[in-house]
Amino acid sequence: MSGASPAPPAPEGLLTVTGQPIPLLGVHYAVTLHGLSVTATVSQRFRNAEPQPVEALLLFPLPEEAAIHGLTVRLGDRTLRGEIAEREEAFQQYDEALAGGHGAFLLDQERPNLFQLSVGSLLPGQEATVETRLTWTARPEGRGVRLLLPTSLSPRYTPAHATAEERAEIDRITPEYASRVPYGLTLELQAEFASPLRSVESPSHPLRVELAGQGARLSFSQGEVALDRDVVVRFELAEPYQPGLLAGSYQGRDYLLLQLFPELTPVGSKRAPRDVTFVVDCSGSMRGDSIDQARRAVELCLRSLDEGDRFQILAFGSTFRTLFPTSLVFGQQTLEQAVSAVRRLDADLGGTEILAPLQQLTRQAREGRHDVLVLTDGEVSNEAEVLALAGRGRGRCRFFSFGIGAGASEHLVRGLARNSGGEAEFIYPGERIEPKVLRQFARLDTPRIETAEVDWGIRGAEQSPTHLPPVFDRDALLVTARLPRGEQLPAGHIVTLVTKTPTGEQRFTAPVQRLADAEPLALLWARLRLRELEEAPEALGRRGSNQRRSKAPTEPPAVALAKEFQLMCQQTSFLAVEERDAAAQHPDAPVLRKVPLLPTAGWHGHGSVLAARLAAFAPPPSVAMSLCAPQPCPPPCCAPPSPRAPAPQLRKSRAAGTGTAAPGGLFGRVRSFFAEAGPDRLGEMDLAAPAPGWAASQEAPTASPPPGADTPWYLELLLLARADGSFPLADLLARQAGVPLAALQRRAGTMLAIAGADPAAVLATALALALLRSEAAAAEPVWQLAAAKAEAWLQRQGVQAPDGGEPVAWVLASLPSWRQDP
Amino acid sequence: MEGRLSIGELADLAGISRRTVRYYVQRELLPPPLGLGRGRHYDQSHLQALQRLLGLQQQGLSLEEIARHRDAPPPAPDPAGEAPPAEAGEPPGPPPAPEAPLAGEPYRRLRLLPGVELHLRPELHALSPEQLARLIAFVRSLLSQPR
Repeated sequence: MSGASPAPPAPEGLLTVTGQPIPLLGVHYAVTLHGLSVTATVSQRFRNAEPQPVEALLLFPLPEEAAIHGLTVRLGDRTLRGEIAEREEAFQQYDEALAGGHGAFLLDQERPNLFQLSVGSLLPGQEATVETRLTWTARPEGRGVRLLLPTSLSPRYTPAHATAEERAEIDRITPEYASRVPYGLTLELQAEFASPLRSVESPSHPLRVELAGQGARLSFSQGEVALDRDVVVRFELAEPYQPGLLAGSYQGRDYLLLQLFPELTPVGSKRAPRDVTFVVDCSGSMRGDSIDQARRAVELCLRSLDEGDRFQILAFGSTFRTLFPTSLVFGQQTLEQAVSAVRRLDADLGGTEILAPLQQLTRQAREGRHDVLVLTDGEVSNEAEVLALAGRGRGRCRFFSFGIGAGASEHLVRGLARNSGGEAEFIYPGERIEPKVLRQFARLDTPRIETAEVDWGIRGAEQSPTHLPPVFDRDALLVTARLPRGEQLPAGHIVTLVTKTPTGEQRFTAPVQRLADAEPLALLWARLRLRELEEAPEALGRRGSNQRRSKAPTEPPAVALAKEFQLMCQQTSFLAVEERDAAAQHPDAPVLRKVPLLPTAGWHGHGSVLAARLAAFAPPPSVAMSLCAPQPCPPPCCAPPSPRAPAPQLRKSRAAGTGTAAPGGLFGRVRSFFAEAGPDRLGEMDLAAPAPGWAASQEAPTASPPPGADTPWYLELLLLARADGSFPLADLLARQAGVPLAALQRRAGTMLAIAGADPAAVLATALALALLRSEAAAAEPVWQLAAAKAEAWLQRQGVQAPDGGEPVAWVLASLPSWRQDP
Repeated sequence: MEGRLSIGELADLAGISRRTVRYYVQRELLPPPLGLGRGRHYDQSHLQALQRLLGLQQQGLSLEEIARHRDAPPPAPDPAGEAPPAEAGEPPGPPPAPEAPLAGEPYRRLRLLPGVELHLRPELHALSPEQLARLIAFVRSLLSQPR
């Protein structure tokens, strides 16, 4: 992995608003994705351009599930290796090193996804590159994987009841913001999969993609981008992930990682009515792209409910209110009432007091099946309290959370779901909301599992996490284990997941694959174990950085484990000290330089990833497109130049107060054209050097206008569905079927309906099902809930086709002749 | 030495982390420690300045605003490390500058253990940091004993 960041040196004299030079030159992310296993090195390059020593403080995010296992500092030709120490000890050594005239580097975990790097006493002219190594497991998503590299910290909301001490601690870990900064982000991403790749796309950045075998090498098209939005990359694979048991030896112990995608058998045909509350964050930070996405997501969920389900909507900000006096029973009238209320929701409720509404919900929830869908950008400073609450309500209230926007807090959003037995999804501006929302919704109906256990087949296997996370139909289940010393996994060994539901038992097994390098497995095992130790109820009293934790007489288990694996946690820090002899010491104490950050794009209506994208695509998409061109092309074609060199037209928009700090094309979805062409063209194209004129000739593969503008026909169709599941006979159906509406209305009369059924609705519903199955088969996960409702409605009508058969089959068979002879 | 506080003792008495004490010193919201190298220490004037700072934060002031109202600085640290206890009565702590109407001094709220807080105004009882530390240690040991 390359050490020094390739970012060019900062222009001399670029200052913050307070007139201080910024000591950070650039950030570089080097990432390797191997299947689902991610290893990364984040390099931050500092330089002191002042005539006096400085102490630079940098707050930055890392993936909340990552094991942070290494810190290296490069000072010219010297290399320092950081060591893990107990948090307070590490600080004391850092403080003493600086007081003694030495250099020191301290990395603290302030929250599981928020880190502070203290670069102590950089001498005048001195440069230092700090490299942090981490590893984690990416989340599979359908037939692919989504990689999230957090880069942006949105301002956090501090609850009004916070004490002075809590405020003091929060202030210390609150970033300062600037509209321009002299540093940017570069990326080097190597991905390799067991399956051929179908496509690579990024809703966050234009990427340059080079195919290599069954993988790809990625970097930003512009070379360097602004750190004002998280990096999201989605890889779509030709074949789905397969279950597997990875095994390997690390420091004399065998570690195992079980990956399963269990298909759970449905329990009976009749499911219990749902009881769902939608909790929508309407705080000021949601202004902009985020509230739009939240409204759409709730409306889609509402339309997926069944008659007889109960629902309520709760909006919160500084205060909270429910939209209806009591929860409503779903039906056509309540659907219309709710949709109109949801469309009026706005981000106008002030602060983000998320604890109070969730407290009320968990208090009121009865034992059993109450599901809460939470939509938030998750920027609060009292995450620990919120997550503890979710854990206490487990068994009564499951939280299914959506992290919305370009910088949602992974820790809050994932933690809510993890602690309550739900699941989390993230919606980036411009990402398709529907599949994520509907995937969440389908989880609500996963057969209720009474017990789920992994049988490792070896005595003394230490499973991590000890308690299995919830198992949802076809979702990934990842569990690790460490075998006792001396035990090895025998060849042909079988590990089994056993799930018990009211209707019986299911077993899932996976073939063993032995790995040469088991370090990532060992680190993952230890990271999961650490989280359990830290999130145990007795540990939650000692909160992150809120208090100075007095040292216990015996070392807490989390600290011992973290030291053994050299891992960061709440109670440990990385420290590296640069010893300086008297001649190298500077007489002056270092002055503080807190590195300012760019605000997250879209935060508080601060710019908009989507609006900027529209601007970027002002010319017709077919002309404006550029796919992974080797050279960066000027805005608005593709985008964001680092704010260090804003394009002239963007400067103008900023002057008008409408631009973002890091505007530009903001949008970049890079969809490889082979995705459009189909898997058979895989490997034939070199994306880094597209054929001349290719991009312009394609049907907008990179252009992704905002949701709504290019909504696929089947989604528009779903938005027509009535509460009972039926469809009205509408233009859209006629257009899609290729038959005039009047002709369809005539045909409706020929269907043999029994008393009471509306022939037009019967034909429309049968036609909708026929079209979905024949022309939108690939999108089945998106429409399956609506289709199930429609089928149930048709059955209730007891309708027969004129040929005596099933109406959908009849419509499907008749369509070609209707088209020829309307 | 009487009244001499390590960074850890100062942090514990104020109920904040040592990192935050260092951060305030670096931001020039608190005077730097006395002495040099390993002999660095704090005293009661630091504690008073810190309590005043936390009081202002409790009132909702940002650190920038507090820095702007710093023109009413706490008494200069006593080189002997023996700052006199604050006088009882109002206004407590350093007299606020006339143009700084924000310098109120609410009760101090100390977290002793999870779920246990102590609310007090140490200056009204002329409590020295050592007495306060003994009080805190006493309550902690009392509540930590197995019952």
